[in-house]
Amino acid sequence: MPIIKTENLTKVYKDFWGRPKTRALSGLNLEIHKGEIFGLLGPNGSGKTTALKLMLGLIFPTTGNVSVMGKPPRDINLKSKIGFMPEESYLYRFLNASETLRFYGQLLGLKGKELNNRVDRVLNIVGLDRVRTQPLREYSKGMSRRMGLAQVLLKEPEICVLDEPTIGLDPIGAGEIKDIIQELKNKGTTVLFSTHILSEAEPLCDRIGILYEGRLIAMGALTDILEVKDEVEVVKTRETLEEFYIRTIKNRDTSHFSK
Amino acid sequence: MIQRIFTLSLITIKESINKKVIYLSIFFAFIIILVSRIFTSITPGAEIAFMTDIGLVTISFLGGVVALFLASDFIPDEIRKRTIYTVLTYPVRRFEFILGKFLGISGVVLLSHSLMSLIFLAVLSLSGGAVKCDLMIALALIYGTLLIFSSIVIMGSTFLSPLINIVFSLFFYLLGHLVTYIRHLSERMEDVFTKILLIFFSYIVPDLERFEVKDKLVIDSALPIGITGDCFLYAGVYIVCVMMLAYVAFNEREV
Ligand SMILES: Nc1ncnc2c1ncn2[C@@H]1O[C@H](COP(=O)(O)OP(=O)(O)OP(=O)(O)O)[C@@H](O)[C@H]1O
Ligand SMILES: [Mg+2]
Repeated sequence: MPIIKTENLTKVYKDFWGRPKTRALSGLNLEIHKGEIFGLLGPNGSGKTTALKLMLGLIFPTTGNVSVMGKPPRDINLKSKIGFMPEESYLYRFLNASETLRFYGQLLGLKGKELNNRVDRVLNIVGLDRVRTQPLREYSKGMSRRMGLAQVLLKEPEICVLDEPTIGLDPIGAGEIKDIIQELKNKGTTVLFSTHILSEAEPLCDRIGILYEGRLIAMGALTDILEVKDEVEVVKTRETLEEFYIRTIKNRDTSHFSK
Repeated sequence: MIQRIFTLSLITIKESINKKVIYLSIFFAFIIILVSRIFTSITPGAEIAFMTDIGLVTISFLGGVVALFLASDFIPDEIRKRTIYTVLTYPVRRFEFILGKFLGISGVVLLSHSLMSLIFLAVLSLSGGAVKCDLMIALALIYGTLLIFSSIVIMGSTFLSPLINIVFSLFFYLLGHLVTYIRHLSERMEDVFTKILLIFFSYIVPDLERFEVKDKLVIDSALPIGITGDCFLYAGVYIVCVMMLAYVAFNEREV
């Protein structure tokens, strides 16, 4: 059974008067399996964030259905098992790193020594140990990003949903995040993340999906997708993800205009 | 669940503590109470009554200002800054979130209300007034009205923009002080539609007149026995109803 499943998921954003404004997602059918790293790719505005927010129950589908571990996304028992890192770190700016994690730890019901230990461990993993007493409003973008990830790791989740996890990070920082994602997979955690940095997705992902104007235009295991075959299905070459991505979207574009 | 509501309210208090409106209100309360001390000469023979009158009105008004300005922005601020994303992806139910905000504002208002009350009582006793039990009851009842007011503001903030919410909550608060008047008016109304509208309003606005004991205090007559219990029971029931409405509005809201 897939750990996250969307069926015909559609989201139309409405304006103040309830009139349809933007069709952000159209009929998305996606299955994420336990233990895999799934990369959701697509250009700006293609609906990646919308899809992730629907899976977290922050917004609701116009039509269609999402289930996470067989439950509706707003199920309270789910929330300590699924971590979400938003596009930017939206955390309380007046708290410092350890106060922030203690606050979220308390929401998880952690107390005393267990809480302290977990906060320490997570701060170590994301490398914010030395600045733990500095308020978040003074953090650089990269440090805020790490805090966003820290808040996910604090749950020791079974599923991690990361919205552009490496955006705004320097190459070393981005590398560290990739290592953490790999580490999570090794421990059996399912990771779903969105990105448009293809060189990042390629070594990391087991499977990818490409969203374009709210539609899923390609999906599959990287090893299958990137093989270019001739007519008799013999593997000729292997594309890079970037070549595949650009080819797929370009094809899409011409068919789009010819309509 | 209780633990989580408590955690959420603490964070709200922590954030509010830095807000200027609290300190400005306390400062103004201090000034007005001091000034009222100076102007007691215009009511010879009733100096203490005059100070009591001004003091209670000031405390009630400035407490309302604190509640209004802080509570109207709690939830909109979390949505604007999107801090709510992370909180709601933790095991927090939406009603726990709202209750946390309400308890938070109750705490902040309690803090500012206590400080203003202390200033008032100190100035009063220095001027030779007695700090009577009835006076303490009057202060407690003011806190009761502030709680009701805060709950209305929190409810409005779950679905209205801050400005509209402020207008709407003030409207409710003012009508709450005019319940008897609205009832009288509705009895004399010929037009059925207006009559029904007035009766409707007289029931949905909070009956804040029952918290109004200043006039009795000023003429030094005793307060009815059991008034504190009655009023707080009323406040409790009213607030629970308002919070349920807030939950209904907020539960379906996309963030
Ligand atoms: N709250 C909203 N109200 C109205 N329209 C929205 C809202 N959020 C997103 N949209 C629209 O939905 C579409 C998809 O947006 P979404 O944020 O999901 O894209 P994305 O793939 O995450 O893009 P990016 O790579 O830039 O983050 C866009 O056209 C956007 O304008
Ligand atoms: Mg996005």
